Order: sequence, then C-alpha cells, then structure tokens
Amino acid sequence: MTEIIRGEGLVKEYAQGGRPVRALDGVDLTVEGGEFLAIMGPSGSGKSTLLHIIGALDRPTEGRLLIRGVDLSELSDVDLAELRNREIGFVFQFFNLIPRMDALRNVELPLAIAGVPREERRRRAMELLKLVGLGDRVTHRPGELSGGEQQRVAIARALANDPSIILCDEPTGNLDSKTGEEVIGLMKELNQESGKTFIIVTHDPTVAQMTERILYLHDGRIVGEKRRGL
Amino acid sequence: MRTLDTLFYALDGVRERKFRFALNIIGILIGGAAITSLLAITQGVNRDISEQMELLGPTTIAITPGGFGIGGKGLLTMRDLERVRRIPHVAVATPIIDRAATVTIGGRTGVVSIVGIIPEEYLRVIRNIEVAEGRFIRRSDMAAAVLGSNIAQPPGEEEPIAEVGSRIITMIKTEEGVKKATFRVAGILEETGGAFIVSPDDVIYISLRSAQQLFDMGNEINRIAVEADSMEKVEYVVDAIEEELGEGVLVISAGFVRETVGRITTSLQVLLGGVAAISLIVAGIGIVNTMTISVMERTREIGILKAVGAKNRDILLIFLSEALITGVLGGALGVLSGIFLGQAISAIAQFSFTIVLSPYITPSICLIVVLFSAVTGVLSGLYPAWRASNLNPVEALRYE
Repeated sequence: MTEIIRGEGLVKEYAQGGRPVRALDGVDLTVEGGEFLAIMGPSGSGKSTLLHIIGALDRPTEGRLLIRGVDLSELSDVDLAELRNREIGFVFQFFNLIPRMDALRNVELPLAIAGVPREERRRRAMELLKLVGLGDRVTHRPGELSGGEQQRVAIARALANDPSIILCDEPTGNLDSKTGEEVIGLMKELNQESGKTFIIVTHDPTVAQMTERILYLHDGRIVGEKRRGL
Repeated sequence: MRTLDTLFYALDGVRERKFRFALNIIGILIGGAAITSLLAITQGVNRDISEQMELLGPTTIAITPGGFGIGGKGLLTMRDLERVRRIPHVAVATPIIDRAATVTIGGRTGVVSIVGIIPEEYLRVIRNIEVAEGRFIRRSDMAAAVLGSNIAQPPGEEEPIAEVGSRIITMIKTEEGVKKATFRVAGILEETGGAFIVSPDDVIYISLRSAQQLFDMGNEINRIAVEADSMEKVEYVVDAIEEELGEGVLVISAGFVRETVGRITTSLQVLLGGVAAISLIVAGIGIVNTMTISVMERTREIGILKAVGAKNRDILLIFLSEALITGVLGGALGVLSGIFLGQAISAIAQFSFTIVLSPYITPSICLIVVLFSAVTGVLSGLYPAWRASNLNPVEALRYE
C-alpha cells in the first residue's frame, strides 16, 4: 500500500479567551491508501483539530501535512478548497446537510461546486443515493429523514466527487448504537469495495473496534496505537 | 461553481427568506419608483417646452422690455424698432403690441390678450399661423380682428362662440372711464399648439394701428420680434441689439430659451433625482442590515459549503447574486410603479393645480433606474458577502 497522508510535527495553537491553547502538540502520523482508521481520545484531546488539518479545513501552526506527497502549506486557499472538493469527503456528527435542499440536491452540492453539468450531477447523485440505500428517498429533505438516513445522505455527499479520503468526525455520535453500527458497516463496505481511505474520529469504543487501526490521542499527542489482530 | 448554479443557489436562499426579501424589494422599489416618476416628469416638461420651441424658427429673436413675459415695466418705442432694423443681418424686425382687455364675444366676457401686429412682417417671424376660416388681418384693417382657436372655441365648449362676421366688443379702463370698441371677426385661426412666449391660440390679433389707437399707445410698443438672416448670425444679432438698446431690454433667441429651459430642467432633474436617490440609499442600508443577519444565520451553511470545497469567491458570488437579484427585481418593479406614480402625480397636478405635466418615460430612464438599483443592491451586499466568504470554515461549522 502507498502512503497517502503524512503529518510531521503537527502543532495547532489558538487563543481561547485570551490565553493560548495547544490543541495539537507535535503529532506525527502516516496513513496508507485504503486504510480504515479510527482516532480515539477524550474530548479536548485534539481529535477534531487533527481531522480538520488532515481535511485541509485548517492549517497547522507548525509542522507540515502532506497528501500524496504534496505539502499543503505550499498551497493557496483556493488550492485547498479544490483539494477539499476533489480529494476529501467529510462526514460530520450533526450531518451538516442543508435543510432547505432535498437529499438529491445535498449530494449534488460538491458536484455543483466542481462545475459538473446539471444532468451529469443528477445522475451521479442518484447513483450515490442508491448506493447508500436511499434510492427511494431522494426528494426528501433532511427534516423528513431519520438520523441514520441523514448520515447516509452525508456519506453519499462525501463520495460525490469520488475522493480518495473520507474524514468522519464522530459520525455515530448522534445515532443510536444499532444505526451507528449500520453506518459504520456501510463505510466499511465502501472502504473494501472502492479502496477509499476512511479516518473516523470517535470516542465510542464499539465504533473503534470495527476499524483496522486505532490511534489514541491525548492532550494533543498520539499516545498509543493498536492494530487489529496484533 | 458555474455562474448559473451560483445564481440558482442564490435564488434558493432568497426563496427561503421570502418575507425579508420582499421587504428589501419594497425598499428598492420605492426608491426606483420615486426616481423614475420624477425623471419622467422633468423629462416631460423639457420635451413639452422643446416641442413648443420647435414651432419657432431657430433664427427668431424676441425683444421685450425688462422682465420676461408680458407687460414688463417700461416700453419699447418705434424709435427702438428703427434702430434694430438698421442692425446688419436683421432680415425682419416687427413691432408687437400685446395688452390685455376685457372682451365680450358671443355673450361671454373675459380678459383676453389683444395683439397688435403688422401682419405681413409678423407672419414672416411666427410661421405656424394658419387661417381656418375667413382671412388673416391686413395692415390697413381698423375694425377687423382674427381670433385664436381657443378664443373662437374655448376649451370645454362644444360649439364655437364666434364665427367669421361675429361682433366682438372690447372694454378698456382708462382715466376717463371705460372705453368701448367694436371689431368684426375677419378670420379664425387653426390651432397651433403653442408658441414663443404667447400662443396664437389664446389671443385676438388686430392691426398695429388699431391697437395703437385702442390702447392709446402713441409710438410705444410691447415687443419686437426679429428674424436674423441666418442661424450663424443669431448670436451676433442678439449681441448687437443688446448693445444698441442697452440694459433695460431682454433679448432672447429660441436657442437661448431652449438652453435655459434645458438648464433648469436638468438642475431640477439632478435635485429631484438626488432626493429620490436618498430613498434608494436608505433601501441599500436595509439590505446591508438584513444580509448581515442572513449571513450570521447561515454561518453553518457557509461552513458546509467550504467543507465540500466552495472557494471564498463562490460564497462571495452567491451572496452578491442575492443582492443583485434584490436590486434588479426591486429596480424593475420600481420602474413599473414609477410609470404609474408619474401618471398619478400628473393627474393630481392637473386636477388640483391645473398644471399640465406629461411624464415622458424613455428607455434610458428605465435602464438608468434598474442599473442604479442593481448597483445599490450589489454595493449593499458587498460587505455582508465579503464577511460570509471570509468566515473560518472550522469556526463556521461549529456555529450553533
């Protein structure tokens, strides 16, 4: 397998209420293409911050992050936006769908931003919604869907531009355990079928157990690692 | 993001906030309507006056004593006329007596302008006069009169009150008492629609000699109408007359009047348009306000857009499109309302003050108003849109 993500000495500092907070304190990590990885840690350990930096939503204060060997610190904001659009898909705890748009249009959004023509967009979004098992719910708005269904829409949206990396921030945090397991099961299926890299931030051990590798984060540092079968 | 998709996205956002959007539209609409109606009215006034000007030759010059109009203090004399006639490039210089008198025609009595002229000279200067019935007056006529169309048949009357051969009686107050005179109607004029200073439609023409006698004028006259021999010489003739007759007279040419009217209506347009523009600025501030609120409410949505790869520019354009849609739609509705408003204002003016205003809407007025509204919208949207586009995506996603 080839290395797809490399973080070297990642530090993230920001001011909170006037005093500096060190959310990441020298994180080194490598992720191989096609991995199904969990990042675990208590709240405030820097999990989400790390995920945001990997997802090019945020820049580290120190250190560098490489995706497919490209140092993101050398990219402009416009380049980062394009990277997010084409290479990365996000799945959030609160789904983050746009309430006024139906499932289809939510999934179309990254395609519209990429400038994909309308017909093509529609076709692809339909395909993806079928893939996540929502072929019959395409015209429903988020408010008309259950939590699990909303998260499936979010997964379909994350897959829209066929990115190689899917980043999930507490994807089951807002779902009951059965639905949560189903969602993770779907992700795992996608991982195995398409070889996409999944990084799942969670503090739920049952979710983490379903992954191949777990990184433990504490106070902004990686304090442990566990591989399945090891 | 493609332009069309940006526009659709913006429209979608607008649809979600219909009430607020409608308020913004109304704000722009009021401003646009005010500007449209006021521009249309001043444009209409300008056009009406210009049309009247066109009845007069471009080489015509009028000399009146002192102030503008009729019966200004001090009079001109036949000697002044002779001096004007001697100026080079003066093709015609003709005396005019113009006095008001109480006149009884067909049993009706009213105050009317009586104009004494030398017909063959006068007709060379005022060229739009045509006789409908009978004949025009002759230089030697002493008891003949020719009636303007509004005199023969006052507006609102179904039948003419005088015809060729009718008798009219004039009454003039003098120191010795009321002096009566009788004239016979020799002819009635076609309607001309207007003219320089006094419309032929509203006067009674008699010969200069009979006017001198009627009003006991001696060798004094009220006006001199002059025709320069070419357009190029008008300015020269105007200057020469001013030099010859000195300060006390007002010398005006058609070009001068047109220019003055143009200047007045332009400043009127700037003034009224400016006042109306203030209402658009107020509407713009309303847009700034509601869009800033809307950006705050949509912080999370902006975060989502950024997470799925929207560039700052995409977000800027989405919000600017919303502002543009508001401006263009408000402006277009404003133009439509302004057309009606202009009609309403002119109806009120006519009804209450008997002022005839005919609003004149040109495509350029419509275009200017829509453009101005669009610019107001976009300028107002600039700051909120800029704020939206510069939101930190991580913070925006966390926003509750």
